[in-house]
Amino acid sequence: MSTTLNVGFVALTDALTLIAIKRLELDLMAGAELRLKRMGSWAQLRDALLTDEIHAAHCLPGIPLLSQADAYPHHVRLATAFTLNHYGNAITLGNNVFDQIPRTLPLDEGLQQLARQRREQGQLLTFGSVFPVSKHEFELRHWLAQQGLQAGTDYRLVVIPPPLAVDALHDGRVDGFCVGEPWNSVAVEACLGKIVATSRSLGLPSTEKVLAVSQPWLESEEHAQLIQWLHEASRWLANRHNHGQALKWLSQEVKRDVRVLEPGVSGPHAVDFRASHCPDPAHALWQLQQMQVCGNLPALAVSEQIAQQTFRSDIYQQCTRQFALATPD
Amino acid sequence: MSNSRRIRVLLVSHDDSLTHSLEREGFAVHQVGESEDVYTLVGTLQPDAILIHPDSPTRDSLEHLASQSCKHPQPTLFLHDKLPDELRQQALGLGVSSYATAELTSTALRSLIEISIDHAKRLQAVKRELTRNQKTLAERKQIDQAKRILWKDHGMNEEAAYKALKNMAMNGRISVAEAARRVLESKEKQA
Repeated sequence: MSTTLNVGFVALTDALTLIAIKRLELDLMAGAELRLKRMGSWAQLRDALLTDEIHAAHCLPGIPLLSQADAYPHHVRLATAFTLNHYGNAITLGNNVFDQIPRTLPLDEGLQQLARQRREQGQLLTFGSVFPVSKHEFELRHWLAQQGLQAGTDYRLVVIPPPLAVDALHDGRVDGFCVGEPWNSVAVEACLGKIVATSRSLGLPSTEKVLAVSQPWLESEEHAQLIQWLHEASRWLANRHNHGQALKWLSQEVKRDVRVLEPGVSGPHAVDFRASHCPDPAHALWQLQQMQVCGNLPALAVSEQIAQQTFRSDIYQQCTRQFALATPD
Repeated sequence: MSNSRRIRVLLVSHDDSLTHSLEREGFAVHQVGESEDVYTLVGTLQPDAILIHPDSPTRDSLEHLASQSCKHPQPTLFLHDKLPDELRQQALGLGVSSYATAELTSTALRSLIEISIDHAKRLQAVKRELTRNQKTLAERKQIDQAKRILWKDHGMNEEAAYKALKNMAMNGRISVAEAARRVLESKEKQA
């Protein structure tokens, strides 16, 4: 097979599986070429998927879910048969928040008090997530609700692209954010804030990024081939001995120091490349429900059918059988 | 433009020349850099359209604004009834992405996109020209170096050295620049 596969990604730690395929030359060994295309935004990545500029992408599950709910033009449908990773997000609060909360108060009471003060000043507390249909936003809302804060009345939500999030925290444009690695570690390293929760500690359905593909490509030989490589690369990444090498490659892609990237691969809020890669429709259903709560989706679109159409565990199983892949523990 | 009010365009770019082209056509342009707070800008300016490079990270904030209210500019990829397919494809290919409100007429949107495409094409031509010049310059340098090697190592004068390179090129059916590169390579191997 002498095929070229165009795959989009956003420069984040959880794109490592795709980067590893390329660096381990799994594609060349199979006589094919994986072309990785770096995207500056999720919007650009989505447009590239919808217009067939790329075959597949490292993607937020919300994008294929919205497509199956028929939110995109020309009824283009996207789906996934491979979960790239679980966890990896964290919520960071800026130093100014801690400075304004009396030390004697527990964090939740302190945040409620601060929210009231800021409302009276006409400057609501502001928190950033990364995209309108991202798990980051759901996690942020969940954690803030645990602290007794309600969206709209107690705080304002904005979307800040992760590369600009650290600057926004520095300038005081946001009081905190929920982003993926390496950006929490970058903020902590720059002494701009503290991590208060991680997607692991929140314990919500853990699927983070998926490999999104267009519906017609779903059952293609190339897609099966890509899933086989992803399997191999994931197993390679699951081995701690390979982390040093993986970090060097990641460092070249995201243009950050290995030291700052290390917590995102081995630390307490690390991305999990080991857990099951089989799409779990229950996680999809949960994300659909969250999208509806956030006002991105009408209630009618929340159904098990859409969850199953988007998270194709059947195609995943077909591929693993075809290649007799060892299922990870 | 005959409208009572000029169409307001928010341009997220460091490049001034597009602003001039749009202003000439009667658009009211507000140009800002990448790192500005688009929430405040969109709130205060209430633009009819936003032009932004497709790979700009700021696009995700605009997507959020669009999802919050249909009054905010929506990504034009999704306003499919207003923009012909080929125009949209061309825009995406050339690095033009735009957001527009539902109130903006399709003629205005079309002219906005066409001006941006035109501008992107001109920019591309300038870049191509620049690369070509840089390549020519680099090749000329290599030819000079190769000539120097020939006249030092083989005792040729400048004219003879050039003739030798030209012969090599003709016999090998390659360009003179390629012949020069090979001379430099074999010299490197000797060293």
